[in-house]
Order: sequence, then C-alpha cells, then structure tokens
Amino acid sequence: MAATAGAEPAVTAVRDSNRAHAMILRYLLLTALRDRLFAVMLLALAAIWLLAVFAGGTSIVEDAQSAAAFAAFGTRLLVVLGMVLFVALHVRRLLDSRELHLLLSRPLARPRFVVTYWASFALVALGLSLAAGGAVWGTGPAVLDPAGLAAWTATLALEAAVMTAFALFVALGLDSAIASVLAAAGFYVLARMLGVLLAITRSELHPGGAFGDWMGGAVSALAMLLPRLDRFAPGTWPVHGLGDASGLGLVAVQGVLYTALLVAASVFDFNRRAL
Amino acid sequence: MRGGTWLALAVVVAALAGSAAIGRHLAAHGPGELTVADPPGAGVLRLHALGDRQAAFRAHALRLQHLGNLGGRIVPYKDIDYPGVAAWFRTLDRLDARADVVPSTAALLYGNTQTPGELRPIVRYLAEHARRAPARKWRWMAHAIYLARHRMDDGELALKLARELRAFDAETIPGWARHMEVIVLADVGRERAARALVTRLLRDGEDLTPAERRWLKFYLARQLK
Repeated sequence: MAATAGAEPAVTAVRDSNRAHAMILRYLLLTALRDRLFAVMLLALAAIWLLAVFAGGTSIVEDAQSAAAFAAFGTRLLVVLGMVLFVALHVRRLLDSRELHLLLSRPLARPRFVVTYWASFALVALGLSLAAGGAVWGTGPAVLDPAGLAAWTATLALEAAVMTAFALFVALGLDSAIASVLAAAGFYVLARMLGVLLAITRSELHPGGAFGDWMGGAVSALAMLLPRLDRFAPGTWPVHGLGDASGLGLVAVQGVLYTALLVAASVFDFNRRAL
Repeated sequence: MRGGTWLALAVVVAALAGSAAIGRHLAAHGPGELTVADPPGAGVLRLHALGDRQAAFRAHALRLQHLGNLGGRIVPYKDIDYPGVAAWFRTLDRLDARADVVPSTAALLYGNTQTPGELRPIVRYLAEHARRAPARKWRWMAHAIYLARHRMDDGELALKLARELRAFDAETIPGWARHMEVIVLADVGRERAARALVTRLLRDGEDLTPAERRWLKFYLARQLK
C-alpha cells in the first residue's frame, strides 16, 4: 500500500512531463502553421522543382540528372535557411512575448525543455527534408539512384538537425534575431566550405608566407571545431549513386555528435540565464 | 505639389532617357568575339556552390553548353575561344568525370564549328576524357576520330586515335569501334595497310566475336578488294 502510494506521484510526474512534451510539440506546430511555414516551404519547394526541371531540361543530355542536381542544391538551401529563420524568429518571439515564462511554468525541468524544443524543431526539419527528397525524386524518378536519394534525404535531415540545434543555441544566447540568423548563416557557409578551404591550404597554390601559414593553421583549427557539412547530402548521390559509401557512417556519427554537442551547450547556457 | 516632387520626376525622366540611350548604343554593336576566361580551380567552382560539386558541375556544364547564346547575344562557334572552352571542359571533368554531358557538349555542339581547323583542342579533350575510363567512355574516342578525320581532315591524327581505341583493354567496346582503324586506313587511301590489318585481325584475333569476324570478312571482300 505504502509502495503504491509512493509510486503514484512518480507516475503523475511522468504523465505531466509527457503532457508538457506533447504541449510543446503542439505549440510549435501551431506556430509553424500560424507563420505559414509549411505552406511557404511547400510552395518554395514546388518553385525550386519547376525551376530545376526547366533549367535541367535545356541540357543537351542527362537533363534529369542536371535537374536533380539543381533541385538538390536549391532544396537543401531552402530547408536549412527556412529552419534557421523559423527557429531564430520563433525563439525571439517566445522571449519577447513572455510566452516562454508560461511554458516554463509547466512541470518540466529546463534541460528537458530545451531538448524537447530542439526535438520538436528537428521533427519539423525531418518533415521538410522528406518533402525536399520528394522534390528531388520528382525531377527524374526513372534515372535517379534510389539508394543515393535515400542517403541524400537522410543526411539532409541530419544537416538540418545540426543547423536547427545551432540556430537554437544562438537564438537562446543572443538578444537579437538578426544576429542569430547571421551567426547561423555564417556558421553554415563556413562549415559547407570547409572541405574546399582545407584542400586549398594543402594545395601547391596556397598563399605562402606568414599569412598563408597562419590562415592554414586557422582553417585546420576550424576543421576540428566545425562539422564537415560539405560531406552531408552531396548532389552526386541521387545522380550517380552512393559509390563508395564508407564515408556515410562517419557523416552520420559526426551529425549526431555535433547535434548532441550543440543541444548540450544550449542547455548549459539556458540553465544559467535568469528568466 | 510638395517640394522635391518636380526634381524627383526630372530624375526619373533623365534616368530613363539615359538608360534608353545606353541600350541603343549596346544594341548597335554586335557581340563580337567571345573571350572565355581561364577556368579557376575545381575547388573554387565548388566554393561557388557551397561545397556541392555536383551542383557546381551541372551549372557550369549548362553555362558552357549555352555559351554564346546568353545575355541576349548570339555568337557563332567560329568566334568562340576553343582552347579556353577545352580548358573549362577539363576543369569540369575534375568535378564529375562520370557524366557524359560535357563530352556531349564538346563533340555534338562545339564539333559543329564553322572553322574545323580550331577543333584540335576539342579532339584532344575528347581523347583524354575517353582514356579516363575506356570501358565506359570509349565512344568519345570514336567521336574524336570522326572529328579528326572528317571535320579537321587530319588522317594521321584520326589513325593515331583509332589505334589507341583498338588498344583499349575493355570488353564493352563493340567491334565496329575497335576496328575503326581499318576504316580510317581505307579512307585515307591506304587500302593495302587496311587489308593487311584486317587479314591479321582475322588470323590472330582469337577474341573476335562471330559478328565482328563476319563484318571484317565482309569489309575485306567488299570495300578492300
């Protein structure tokens, strides 16, 4: 009897916590609907698909492959930048309107709150990545490589999850939505160019002298700090297939690790904030 | 009217007139020769597409395909800088050597120039492209042979490439392509050499398929008699 009495509050706490998780997810989806995120993203995906098919259709041969490469490039940018904007503006409004205080009054510890928030954003990003995969597939279902396209979609979802985590981290930490978006965009561009920057520092043509050495060192340091996003969702996969897929596992591990790092950093930062 | 309105209207009218004058001046001048800038490194092209080599490859392949037909200009092939274009083809091969869109553009579009003498860089590129993976790319060597023989009228170059095509170690190359040397030899007036080659092939070619053997016999009897 005593044991039952002891277990009851724990069960109630878990139930309340689950309710709070569901409420945050519902709240986020409602805001996404209210902000017309899904409608705008689907319209933009359709526009990218149309443009890609139009531009690819002018290719002398391999028109579907060209369209797929253009669609892969465009939809990747759309999903990532759309999610960054959504996260930054959503968090800013949450802080400005004091809705955050209302949400924090629920029986949910701050770390769980941040993790749940990120997971809800990541769920939205996953849905958009699947839609992007569908748009790429629609450019040439008969000629594209199904395994390559599946890997492209999966790693795009991972890339979007990393960027969502980064956007959440900067949005919670910075006081300006513009600063958050610019920081996330800078991080993204740098992380996507990292492979080429590394190749330049190791090539024969890299700028020599003290400046060149210093830049080389800086790029090498960045390569250890930033994720290699250029290895995520390459347009070559849907067109030519995975080929040597040995790098895929490493990409997945890095995506998961870096996301965990960013979410943990967000929790650390958010715990220290006086709200 | 409020102060400044007349001034703003005057600026609009003046700017429109100036723009129309510039447009008229530009329209009066033909496109002239199209200079192709040297290609940057493949890495720089990847940077343009945020690290996505396939997007960079397809975008620049399309640009090269439409070169001379962009920006309201129509430039004939004879006015295009062929060595520059061939340098771009090579750079794009470093982004994606598996695709066929670049050699297709080289052979089927740029091969139609009004000045066949300038085709040498294109033929050289097609041969290089074929050498990368003869099993998949041999047909670009056949195109190079065609351009050398029938557009450039350079029998020696065609013969050299045909010999190279015959020497490729790839089972996927069909008989007609492997025996292009015979056709080129006959075509440049060296029937005796062609006859000798066919006879040798029929005698020593243990790997010849029945269809290839039949075709060689037919060619020997009908074309090289």
